Amino acid sequence: MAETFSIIGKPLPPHDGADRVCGRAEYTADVKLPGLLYAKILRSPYPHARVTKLDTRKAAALPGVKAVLTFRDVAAVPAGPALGKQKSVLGETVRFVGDGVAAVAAVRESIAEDALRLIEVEYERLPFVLDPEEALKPEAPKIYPEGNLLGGKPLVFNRGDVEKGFAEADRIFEETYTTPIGVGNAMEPRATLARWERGKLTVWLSSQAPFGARAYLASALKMPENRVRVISTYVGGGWGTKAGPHGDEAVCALLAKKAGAPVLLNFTREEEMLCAHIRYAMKMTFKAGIKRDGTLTTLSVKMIGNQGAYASAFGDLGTQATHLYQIPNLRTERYRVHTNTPSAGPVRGVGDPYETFALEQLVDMMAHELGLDPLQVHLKNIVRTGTDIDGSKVSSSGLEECIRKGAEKIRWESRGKPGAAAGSKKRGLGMALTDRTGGVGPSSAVVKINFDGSVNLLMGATDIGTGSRTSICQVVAEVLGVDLKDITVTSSDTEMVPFCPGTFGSRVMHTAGKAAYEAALEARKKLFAAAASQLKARLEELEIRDHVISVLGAPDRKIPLKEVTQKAGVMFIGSASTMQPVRPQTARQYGAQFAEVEVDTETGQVAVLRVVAAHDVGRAINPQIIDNQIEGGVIQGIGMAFSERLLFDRATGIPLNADLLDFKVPTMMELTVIEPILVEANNPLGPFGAKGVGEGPVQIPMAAIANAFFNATGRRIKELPMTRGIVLAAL
Amino acid sequence: MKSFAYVPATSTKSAVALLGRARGKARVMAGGTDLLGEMKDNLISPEQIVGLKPAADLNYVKAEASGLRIGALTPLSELAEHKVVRERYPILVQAVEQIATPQLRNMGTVGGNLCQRPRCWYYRGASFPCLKKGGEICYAVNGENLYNAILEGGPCYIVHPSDLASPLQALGAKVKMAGPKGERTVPLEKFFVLPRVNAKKENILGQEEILTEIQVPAVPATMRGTYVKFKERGSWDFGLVSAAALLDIRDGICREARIVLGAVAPVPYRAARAEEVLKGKRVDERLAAQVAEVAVMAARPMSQNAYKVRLAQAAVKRTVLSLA
Ligand SMILES: Cc1cc2nc3c(=O)[nH]c(=O)nc-3n(C[C@H](O)[C@H](O)[C@H](O)COP(=O)(O)OP(=O)(O)OC[C@H]3O[C@@H](n4cnc5c(N)ncnc54)[C@H](O)[C@@H]3O)c2cc1C
Ligand code: SF4
Repeated sequence: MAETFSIIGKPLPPHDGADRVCGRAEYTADVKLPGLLYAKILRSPYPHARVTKLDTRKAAALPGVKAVLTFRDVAAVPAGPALGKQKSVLGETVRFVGDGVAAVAAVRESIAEDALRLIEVEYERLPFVLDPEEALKPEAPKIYPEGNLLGGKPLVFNRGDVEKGFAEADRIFEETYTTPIGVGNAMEPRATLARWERGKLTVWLSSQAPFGARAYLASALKMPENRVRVISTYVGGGWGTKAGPHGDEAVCALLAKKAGAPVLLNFTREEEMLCAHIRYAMKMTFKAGIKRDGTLTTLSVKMIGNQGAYASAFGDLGTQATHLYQIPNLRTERYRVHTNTPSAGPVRGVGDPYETFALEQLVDMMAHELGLDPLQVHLKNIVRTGTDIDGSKVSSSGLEECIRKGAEKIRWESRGKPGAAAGSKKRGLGMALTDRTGGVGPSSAVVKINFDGSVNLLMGATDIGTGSRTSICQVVAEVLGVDLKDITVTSSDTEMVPFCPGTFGSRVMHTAGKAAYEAALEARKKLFAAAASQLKARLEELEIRDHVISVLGAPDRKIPLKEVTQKAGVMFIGSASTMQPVRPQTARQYGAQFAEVEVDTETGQVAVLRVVAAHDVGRAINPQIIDNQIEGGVIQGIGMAFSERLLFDRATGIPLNADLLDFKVPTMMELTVIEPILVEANNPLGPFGAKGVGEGPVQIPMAAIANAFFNATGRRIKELPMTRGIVLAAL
Repeated sequence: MKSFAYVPATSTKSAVALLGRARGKARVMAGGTDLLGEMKDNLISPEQIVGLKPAADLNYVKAEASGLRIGALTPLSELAEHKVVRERYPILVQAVEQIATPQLRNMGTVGGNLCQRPRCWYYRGASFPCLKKGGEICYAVNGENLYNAILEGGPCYIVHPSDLASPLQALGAKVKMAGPKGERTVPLEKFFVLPRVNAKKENILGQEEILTEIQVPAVPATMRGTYVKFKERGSWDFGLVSAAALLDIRDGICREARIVLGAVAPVPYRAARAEEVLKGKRVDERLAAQVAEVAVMAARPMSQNAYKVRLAQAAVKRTVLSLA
């Protein structure tokens, strides 16, 4: 591997930045097709009910209405993969406010809305439950006949012997932390546009996973995958809610089929917030044993999560308890409980932002109680390169470097005693760590070197705003010795590009980047084979830089790339299908964040003055893009720390703040000084040593801020979001 | 949103005439930033919208010796940019700059801001037929009431959402209305009504009446004012609590005081007893803390909003001390 890079490590501007900023990028809702119809879904006003009457005749008769579907038409169509009870795309029994019952397509959106009002529907209301702990009680209303606990029992993980661990401990601490229902809130709400042509279905979809959507649509509609084409060229953010199918894709396709015309289904903001999936609310009880010197002996965790009405993917799977520290004795017990709230699923960081909030406050608290510096307690217990976790070894960890560099930058040693600051404005410093997958699973790519020396990269991964269109091209450009502008990338069209499961789990650089790297190497190998004979050199002796192939150590023996391709007369194509080990312990991303806050004890206002965010990224392929990921994560984390949570009226089960005024995402005014530090620990599995960094940044701010709050005030906040009411009550 | 007819009013007179003809089926629209939201959320579906924007005689800021006259249709941003307002009424500028976002301040008008409907989420949720909408119950009482009233509540517990209302009331503003029976002018505190008088409305405007002008008396040179607003995010957020204070402090002694709290009651809340405590005394930390306490002595917090009492105290203390 070359030591000095030409393109890797450069903060190059995004390939598609101008297109996005100038409005040329075509998102799903921008696609204009002749005869396009607009769809709307009739949704349940009740959290739990059975439809007793549904008459769509008046709606169907309204001029301009072209198709109506009800749950009766789609009884056999599943709403996507299910872990628990299968949801149908439209249901006779509705299990949350917003659950779909019927759908309409009309020539205008307003006509479709009018048509919904003409549907005569009556419900038999059923008892409902919103709170997971309530839902676990024997007398709770049953959302499913078999009970509300998903799988009928908790998911238990055991390592070592927890009781032995407690016996070995000098001190035992127990705390409970609660976190709310969150929402990803991608800037672009979900949108689906379906068109049928001669029995073939094309769907433009705002999706993180077009191949997943294709597989779903093919199976739901009983078609072969090659007759379904899903295009997700531009996507305005995903945060996980656009990763899995939610059934609306099939509803849209079926409406288009019935109407004989293309149909666009645009979610409103409210639908985006309620009808895809939401972030899992959790109540987490952590009990830990620790020695006087700060060595963790054991950890026992019980988590009760709000699974909501349905389960298509787990939204709680966190890895902090199992993966961040070397804890010989461990037990985790997860209860996933159905309630009559929207379905929960993975949102950026999945269960880890909340689990980090709990574990990292607990560790901070224990260090304080033992009179130790939390930084030292962290260093004493963290996993490191080569640490064996449940049978496989950590391939690389730069966590210690993250901690040391971050501590130096924030001037950790300047930290005062908790609550010691005088006056009504108190400052404090806090830190927290996190661990997360660096990206696992398959991906594939094709690299074509054209006769003029330009390159086409075809990749399955979708750039949902994360910059992979640019950063993965940097990987290819580095291998092929060309410039970024010489590469055109085509992605996320299932008919044009090879397979990738999608953009989630911090995986794109580590998986799709790896595939592109391998594909570029293969193309280069073919190129070098031709050049070798032209230069009368051995293949291994060749290198390529700035479009010129030369012999190592003999720079005069060289030939321009273009000459090789033209002389050869055949196109050099490299392709690769790669699989990054699914063993979760291998390529992990790590981060350490340090927050400085100022607490106004009269108003409960907590100002985040500064966040130093040190992240082990393996290798920074494009540091600008990574800085953006970190900054975005920290800002999102500030929102989760102070204001974001979805609320429901307890008496009716109706959501109260499914809009952007009342569900308070942070604004530019919440922006603080964010200082990213990129630690390059070199991950042997990744392209040029890179690993994923997409989720780590959002996982830590809440814990770091809560710890800083403690340092400032001497008080703990064990609940998110830290609203004024909660902060003032703690002070 | 249901379809509706839009009729532009070219003057105050034409607006009143159009409203009269519509017999209660029309709503007036100024900037539309609140009205259209209500229509999109299916809270109201008027058959007719009377557009006030074309009425040129409603958009002005006139600075006279006796004070300011502000046309109801003046955009919020124009009020805050007006030279004389900036010089002599900085409290209004401070308040406007805390409202919503720049876009909303460009579209929203002064009159619309005073006439805007409450933000209680039960009111804004079409599925809750609460008292304010003519229903039987107030959902906030046993529900999520963290943003509701701590003072003067019942049977409805909204807080008045306007940031302009409290500083205007502190300044002693009057509002002028025009209707089928002609014009009338009342002090702002008489314009707003408490829910115990009428739970369905926030002010005395009749169905066929419009607000035409806001009159702000000249402020003596010795009176200085300030506005603080506590919110949950830096922008695009209604207040948790706000306070407008106008004090005349000379030689450290408070001669005259007006303190009006926002976001704590269904109408701007005049802290009259706090004003009395201030008057004639030397303004220092201790007095400010005492004034703050007295200001919300009558508070009756609901199940989730006791924190607002402390916030209100902090707001009063800060405004008073910042003027000392
Ligand atoms: C996202 C958002 C955030 C906001 N944040 C704040 C905030 O922080 N602080 C704050 O104070 N406000 C806030 N607002 C409210 C905003 O200031 C008002 O929407 C705006 O001032 C209303 O002015 P408008 O001209 O658009 O009124 P419109 O929407 O046109 O009218 C509002 C109401 O008043 C009536 N009306 C308007 N003008 C007259 C008149 N001359 N005579 C009689 N009736 C009239 C209308 O019929 C309607 O019922 C916010 C609004 C939004 C949408
Ligand atoms: S406070 Fe008023 S607006 Fe809110 S629910 Fe009660 S009656 Fe309705």
